[in-house]
Amino acid sequence: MLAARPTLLALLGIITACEPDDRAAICASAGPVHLLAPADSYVDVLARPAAGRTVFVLEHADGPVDTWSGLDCGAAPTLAVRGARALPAAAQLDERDDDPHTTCIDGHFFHLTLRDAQPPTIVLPDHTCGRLTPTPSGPVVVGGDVIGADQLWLLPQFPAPDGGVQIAARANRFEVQGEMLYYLDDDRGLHAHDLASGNDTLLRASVDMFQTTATHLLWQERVDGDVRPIRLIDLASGAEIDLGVFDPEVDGSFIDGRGGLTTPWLFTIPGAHVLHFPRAWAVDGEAFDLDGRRLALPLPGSPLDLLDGGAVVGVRPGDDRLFAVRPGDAEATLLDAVVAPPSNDDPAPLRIDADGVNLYLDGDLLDVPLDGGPARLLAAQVGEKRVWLDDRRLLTIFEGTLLTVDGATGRRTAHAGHVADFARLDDGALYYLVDQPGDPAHGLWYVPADAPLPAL
Amino acid sequence: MPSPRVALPLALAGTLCAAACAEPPPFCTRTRPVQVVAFTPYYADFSVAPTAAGTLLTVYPRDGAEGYFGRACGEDPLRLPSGLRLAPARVELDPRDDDPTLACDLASSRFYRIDPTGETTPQLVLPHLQCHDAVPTPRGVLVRGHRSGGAVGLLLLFPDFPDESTARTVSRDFAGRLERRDDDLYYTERSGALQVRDLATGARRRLPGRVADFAVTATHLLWREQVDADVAPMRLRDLATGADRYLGLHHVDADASPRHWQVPAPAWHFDPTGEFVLHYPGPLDQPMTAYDLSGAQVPFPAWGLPLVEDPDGAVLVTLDGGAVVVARPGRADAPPLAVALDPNAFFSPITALGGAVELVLGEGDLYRVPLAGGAPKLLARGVGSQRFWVDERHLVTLDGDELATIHTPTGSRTQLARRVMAMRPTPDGVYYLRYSGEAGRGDGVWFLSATAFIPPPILCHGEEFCD
Repeated sequence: MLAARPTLLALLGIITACEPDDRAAICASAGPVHLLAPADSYVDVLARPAAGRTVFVLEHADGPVDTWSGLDCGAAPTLAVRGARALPAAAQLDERDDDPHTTCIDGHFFHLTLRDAQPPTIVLPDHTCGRLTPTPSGPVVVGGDVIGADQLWLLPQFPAPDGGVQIAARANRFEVQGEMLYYLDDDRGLHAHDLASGNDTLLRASVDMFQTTATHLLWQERVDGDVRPIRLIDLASGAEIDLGVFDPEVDGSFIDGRGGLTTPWLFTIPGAHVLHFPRAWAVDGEAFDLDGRRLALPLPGSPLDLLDGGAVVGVRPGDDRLFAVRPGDAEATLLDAVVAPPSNDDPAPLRIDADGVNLYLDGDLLDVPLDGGPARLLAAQVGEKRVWLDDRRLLTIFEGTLLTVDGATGRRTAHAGHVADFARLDDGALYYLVDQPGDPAHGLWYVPADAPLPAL
Repeated sequence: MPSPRVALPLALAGTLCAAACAEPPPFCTRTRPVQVVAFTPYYADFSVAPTAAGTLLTVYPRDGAEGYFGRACGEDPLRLPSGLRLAPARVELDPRDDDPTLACDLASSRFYRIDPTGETTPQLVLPHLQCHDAVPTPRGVLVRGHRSGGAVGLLLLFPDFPDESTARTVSRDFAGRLERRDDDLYYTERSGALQVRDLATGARRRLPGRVADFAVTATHLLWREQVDADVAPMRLRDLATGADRYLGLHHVDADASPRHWQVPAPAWHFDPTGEFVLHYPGPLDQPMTAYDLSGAQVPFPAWGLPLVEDPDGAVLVTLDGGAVVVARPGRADAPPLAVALDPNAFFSPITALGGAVELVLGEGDLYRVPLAGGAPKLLARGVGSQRFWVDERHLVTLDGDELATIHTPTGSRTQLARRVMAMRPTPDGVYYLRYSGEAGRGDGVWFLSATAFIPPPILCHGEEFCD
C-alpha cells in the first residue's frame, strides 16, 4: 500500500523507492509518494513530462546536474545522464508528445537509452538543436554551423532524417506562424515558406529585420545606412502600410536604460498594436493600430515589459516609480510601487506576469493594480520560489518548509521540511525535493494533481 | 645547434622510428605534397593529432567543423559523422599512447568515444567530466568536473582512464590551480586550503595558510594569501623549514594582466632557474622587482618591458629609451643585447635557447644572439611568422603564403608549396592548409613528408598546385 503521509513513505526510499509495477498506483496516489532517495544531495529540480515518461534534471548544491528518467508520474526513475542536462528535445507542438529518448546537449542531438546511464549517442550529426522549432508539419531544425547564417531544414520524421527537406541554404533569422515559416536569407531577402506545400515566396528584398503575428508582418527596409522605413503587411490581403522610419539618431543603440526590451519597434501582445520605443529620453513613444493609425504612447521612463492585455509596464527615472500605459492613453498611470530597474548586478524583485504586476519585497508578495490603486499584500513571508495553486492559495518554500499560504486569510499550512525546490507541471502534478541526506525523507517526492498536500 | 624546442618534431620522428617505424608506410615518405582532405577553408585554422593508431583531423569549412580519421600521415581519411570539434583526448603522458577512439570536443569540453570507421556516430562518455584541461601524470590522468553548472570543485585521478571503477577522488572542493612535482600534487581548494596529495599513496597533507594562488619549485613555495580579492600579501616559503617571508602585495588592478605579451607568466612568478622571484606589474609606471630565496630584494631593472626569460636565468628587457639589455636578477650590471630592437615594431616571438635567443628582425632576418656577449649570427633571410628546424642546417618556414625550406649555410631556398594559410609540423612531416581562392582548386589540408625537407627537392616544376 502506498501511504499518504511523507513520513511513512520515506521508509520505502532506498535508491529508487518505487518499482515499475507501482506506476498506476503512484499516479492514483492519495498523497505524496517518495520517488527517489539518492545518495547525493540535490537542491534544484526541473520536471518535464514526455510521451508517458517524466524526465527530471536534478542539480547538486555545488553545480553539476544529472538527468533522471521515470515512467509516468515519475515512477521508478533511473539515472539517464550523469553530469548533463538532457531534457527531451522540444520538437512537438505539445511537449508531452516529445520523445524522451531524443535530447539536446551542448547544441547537438543525442539518443538516450534511458537505462543505466548508457552513453548518449549523437543523432542528426549535421544538425544543431539550439533553435529547434516545432510546427504542424514537423520541427524546423538548423543545420550546419555557419557564421552569420544557417541552413534551415524541415524534418517531418524527426528524429529520423528521412524525408528531410532543406528550406534554405542560408538563413539569418526565422519565425513560424502555423504552417508558414518566414526567414531572412543571406542577401536580406524575406521569404514566406509554406511548410505544408513547400512553396517558397520572396516577399521583400533589402530587409533589415522583421517580426510576425498570425495576421501581420512588421519589417524594416534597408534603403541605406540612415534610411530604414518601417512597414506593416496584412498577411491576408497583402496590403502594406508605412508606419515610420527607423532613425539611427533616435532608435539606434537601443541597449541602454530602456529596460528589458531590446528592439525599438515591436508588436504588443497579442499583436493588436505596433509600439515604437525611441531610445532618446526626450522623445515620447508612439503606437499604431493595425490600420496604421498613430496613437499616443506617453513614456515617462524606461519600458520594462509588455503585458498580455497590451499594456506596457515601465519604471520612471529619478524616483524609480513603476508606470503602466496602453496605446492611446493620454498619459501613463503611475503605480503604487517603487523599484529600481533590473540590472545584472541588482536584479529587481519585480515579477511582471502576463496579466499584472507582482512585487516581491523582503519576503512579502504584493499585487500592484494597473489602475494606480494602492498595492495589496497578497502574502507575507513567502519565498522566492512560489506558484499560485488557485485564486487564493500560494505554494512556496519559506526557510526550507514547503507550505501553502491562503491569500485571503493569511493561514499558513506546512507540508514538508528541508525542502530545497519544487516543480509544478501544467496539469497540477507536483514534484519536490527534500534535501536532508541521512533522513528517510531525503529525495524526490511526487504529489498527483488531484491529491491533497497533507499538513505536517 | 637548433633550439631543442623547434627541433622537436625531428627528434620525435627519430624516436618514433627507432621504436616502431622501421618501415614507415609509403604514404609517410612520399617526397611530393599529397592532399589529405579536400574542402574550402573558412578559417586559417585546422588541427591535426597523430596517434599510434591513426591521425585525427578537424577542419573548418564554412558549414562548421568536420572531423576526419585517417591512417598514419592522414592517409585515407574517413569523415566522422559528428558535427563536433574533435581532438584526441590527452590522457597519456606520451600523446602517441592516447587512445585514438577517445576524443575531446573542443567546443563543449566533453569526452566522446568515436568510431574510426565513421560507421557509427560518437558516444558521449563521462559527461560530468571536462576534457580540455586533463593533466596526464605517471600515476594516471587528473580530470576535473565539467564546468557546466559550475562543477569546478571535482578533481579525479584515473589510473586507467576512462575506467571509473578505479578512479580516485582527489578533491571535491578543487579551486582550479594545480602543479605537480614528481608524485606530489599541489592544489588549492575553494576553502583556501593548499593541499599536497601523494599520487602514489593517496596520502594528503594540508600546508599552512589560506592560499588563493601559488607556484612551487623543488625547494620553495610562492603563494598569495587568500584575504582580499583586490589586495593580498605575496609570501615565499622555504619548504624544508616552513619559514615564510613576506615579499610584497598583489594588487589585482596591476597584477592581473601581463606587462608584455611575450611573457604571459603571472605578475609574481619564479624565474626559470627557480632561484629568484620576479614581479612584473602590468602598468609600465610601476617598477619591476626581483627577490632571492631569502626574500631579500635584489638588483633588477625597474623600468622597461620584459621580452623573454631564458632558461639560464637571463631576462631580455627593453628599457625606456629603447635599448634592450640582458638582465640577470641579483646582478647590478645589465649589458646591452648585441642587436638593436625597435620596441615599437612588431616582431615575432623570441625563442629562448638557453644561453642564446633566436629572433626575427626587419623583413624576416632570423638571428641567433648569444646572451653572454659575442656577435649575433644571421641565420637566414625571408623567414616568416612560423618556422621550425629540420636539422642544424635546414629551416622550414611559412613566409607569407609560401612554405619553404631554407638551407641556412648557403641561404638557398626551396619552395615547398604556395597559397598556404597555416601549417602544423608533426614528427612525420608538415600538414598545411591550402586556399587558392579559385573555387576549390586543390583547397584543403595537404601533407608533406619530413623526408621531403632534406635534401630540399625541386617540387614545383609542372606541378598543378604549386603556385
